[in-house]
This record gives sequence, C-alpha cells and structure tokens, in this order.
Amino acid sequence: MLIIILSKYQSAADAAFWGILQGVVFTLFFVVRARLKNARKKRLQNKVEWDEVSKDESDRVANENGSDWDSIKKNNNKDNV
Amino acid sequence: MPSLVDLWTRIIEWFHDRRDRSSLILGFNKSAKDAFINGYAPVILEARISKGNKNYKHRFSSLFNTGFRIKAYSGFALSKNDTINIGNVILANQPLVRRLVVLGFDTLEVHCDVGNQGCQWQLHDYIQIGQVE
Repeated sequence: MLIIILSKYQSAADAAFWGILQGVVFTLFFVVRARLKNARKKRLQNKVEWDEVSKDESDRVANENGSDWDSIKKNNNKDNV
Repeated sequence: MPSLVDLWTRIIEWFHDRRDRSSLILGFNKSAKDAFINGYAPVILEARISKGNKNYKHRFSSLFNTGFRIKAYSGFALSKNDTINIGNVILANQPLVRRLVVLGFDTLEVHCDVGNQGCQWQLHDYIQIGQVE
C-alpha cells in the first residue's frame, strides 16, 4: 500500500517526504497502542478489591485501638509483646 | 433557566474547586511525608483522587472523581484492622473531613502497596453536620 501511494508522486523528494511522514505516523500509532495495552494490563493487575466499612465497625475499631498514631502504635506494641 | 452571570460564576467556582482539590492533595502528601520523616507516623501515606463509590453520593458530591484514595507504603500486606486504623486517623481529623466533603469528595479509600485489598468509607457519615464544637 505504501509503495502504491508513493508512486503517485512525481518527484523523488516528494515521495521521500511523504514516505518518511507515513513511517513516523505508523511508528507512533504502534508505540501508542503498545503503551495503552501495557497500561491497561497494569491497571487490571493492580485492581483493588474494596471492602465497605460501616460507621459502627469503624467506631468499634477506634474504641479498641484509638484514632491517633500514638494509641495505634501503643496497641500494636502491646499485641506484639 | 440560569442567567449568564450564574453560569459564569459556576464556571469560575469549578476552576476554584479544581485548584483547591489539587492544593489539598499536595498539602496532604507533604504533611504525610513530614509526619513519616519525624517518626510520628509509622507509614508513608500518599493521597490521590479516584472515581469513588457512586452509592456514597451526597449533596455536594462532584459529578466525577469523588474518591479520596490513600495508599499506605508499608512494604507488607496490611490486615483489615490496620487499614481501618489508618482510615480512623484520617476520619478523626474533622476539619479535613469537612473540607473533603465541601470539595466534592464522598468516598475515603485506603489501601496498601502490597496486595489488592482496601477499605472504603462514606464521608457523609463522619461530618457531624449540625453539631458545633
């Protein structure tokens, strides 16, 4: 297809110019397509399963462990001892 | 039918909200890094905007991207309890939660960098609307 299109041009300079331009466009097309495919694959691999936490459950855990870093660290150390 | 002035005001407000959301994310990430460096927080937290949960919509929810997603860099898979602990630390900060709601967020999401499990909270349940401190 590329050869047929290039033969329409009368001067070698024109054919070279349009040939290079087509080459660049096709290369960009394939590069972008490969990157989009890889990005989609990565997104599907890293997809997170979400657990909906109710206010009651959240409050229960907060009452057990506290809701600031100091109390959480203290409770974690207590569990690890 | 909204007037041109109303339409223009809404457009300006939309841009202001976008700017405020970006600065909130940047400010949160900087504070989280400082807290980790100073030894106050045991993990590095990184926030970004996400799609959110469409079942959590409220009056001020944005049309798109209503999730405030926090990734905890712990290096190992966190248990559900640990994830809820991190969420509770965020939710205990009332001014932050109210700011999130006003800026159009309705979902808080917390997950770690290892594994594919995370927790979601409906922010509207935590703003204590009508209560004055």
